[in-house]
Amino acid sequence: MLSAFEPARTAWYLHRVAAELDSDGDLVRGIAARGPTSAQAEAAFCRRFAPRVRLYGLRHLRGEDRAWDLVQAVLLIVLEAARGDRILEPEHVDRFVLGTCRHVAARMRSAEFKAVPLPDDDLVRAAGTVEPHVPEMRALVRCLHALEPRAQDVLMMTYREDLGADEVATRLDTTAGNIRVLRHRALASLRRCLDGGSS
Amino acid sequence: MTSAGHIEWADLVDYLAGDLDGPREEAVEMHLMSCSACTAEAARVAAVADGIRAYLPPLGTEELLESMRRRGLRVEENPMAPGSDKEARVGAHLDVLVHRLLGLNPRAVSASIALRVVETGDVLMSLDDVLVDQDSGSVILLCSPHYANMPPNLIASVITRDETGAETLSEYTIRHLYEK
Repeated sequence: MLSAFEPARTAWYLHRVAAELDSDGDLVRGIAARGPTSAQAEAAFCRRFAPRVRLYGLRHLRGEDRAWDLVQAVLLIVLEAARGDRILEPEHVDRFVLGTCRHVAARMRSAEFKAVPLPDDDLVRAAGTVEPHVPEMRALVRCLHALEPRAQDVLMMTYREDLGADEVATRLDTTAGNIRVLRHRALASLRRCLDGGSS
Repeated sequence: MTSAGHIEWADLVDYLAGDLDGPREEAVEMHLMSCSACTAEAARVAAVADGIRAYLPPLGTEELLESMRRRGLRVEENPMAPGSDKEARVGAHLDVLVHRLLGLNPRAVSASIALRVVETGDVLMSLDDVLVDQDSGSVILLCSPHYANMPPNLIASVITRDETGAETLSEYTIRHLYEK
């Protein structure tokens, strides 16, 4: 027999599932409504956007820690804006998030920026659900060694020495376009190898 | 873009390497901010790139050491004379431990190295065409905390050959102490 609490749990679950399927605009409006399902909308919003903001951070700030500082700072700003109904075009909140990423990342690149721990536990928990997919080192070494030496050189120069395609091309006496092709093919081979296929 | 409206793999790789021009980078970022599938794919590229950054080749050069120090990696040196038998601590206090195998013929025309497990004699690695540094007469063997699941006690055997073809064997016993 169902207790009086069972329907509430089911309702919570359904709200959560519904929130995952909502459009970006629906989530923003749900947050702005400050109603009983706003917390689910906020959590779903964080789960959706945290990986995207993290990726922006990895590209522009380098390093997992800095990327997570960006995630937390950006989500806090965007949620505050949504709670205050200050996002003018909820359906285009992705543009608002991207603009906030650019602004906050620019501040983080300046020396005086200090990450501030957030008091918002729910936000931290929701944003923290993204696990980096780190390849196992021995498998990576095996797969790297299975690549052609030139492809290995390109990957090493790109990622270990942080050289752009132009600089790698100069070192290897070829064109930047050729280096780009070598690089994305080598990474595709690595991915196949790490997934259990041959390189 | 792919036919399904997602970003091409090549563009994701170029984006994360910082090799897209302004308008293309902007277009990729706009799409990534609205697409979970492309974000997941790009995160995979970023993870593999991170793995490559952390990967250490078994042998190094002075230039590589310099580049690692410039990148802020904590590099510690373990100079070893031929015939020596030493303990070496590896752990969270450093990123790279450099075993500098000294006392080799700086005028060697070729050299090879083999790494064997002390207890079993199993060969873990064997490399030809090893470069002996002409200034210091040494070979640089690199070790990192990533190797903690390897057998800890190893013998590095270096064979150098001079211009007459004469070979010289130098051996170094390294006992790694992996610390958490």
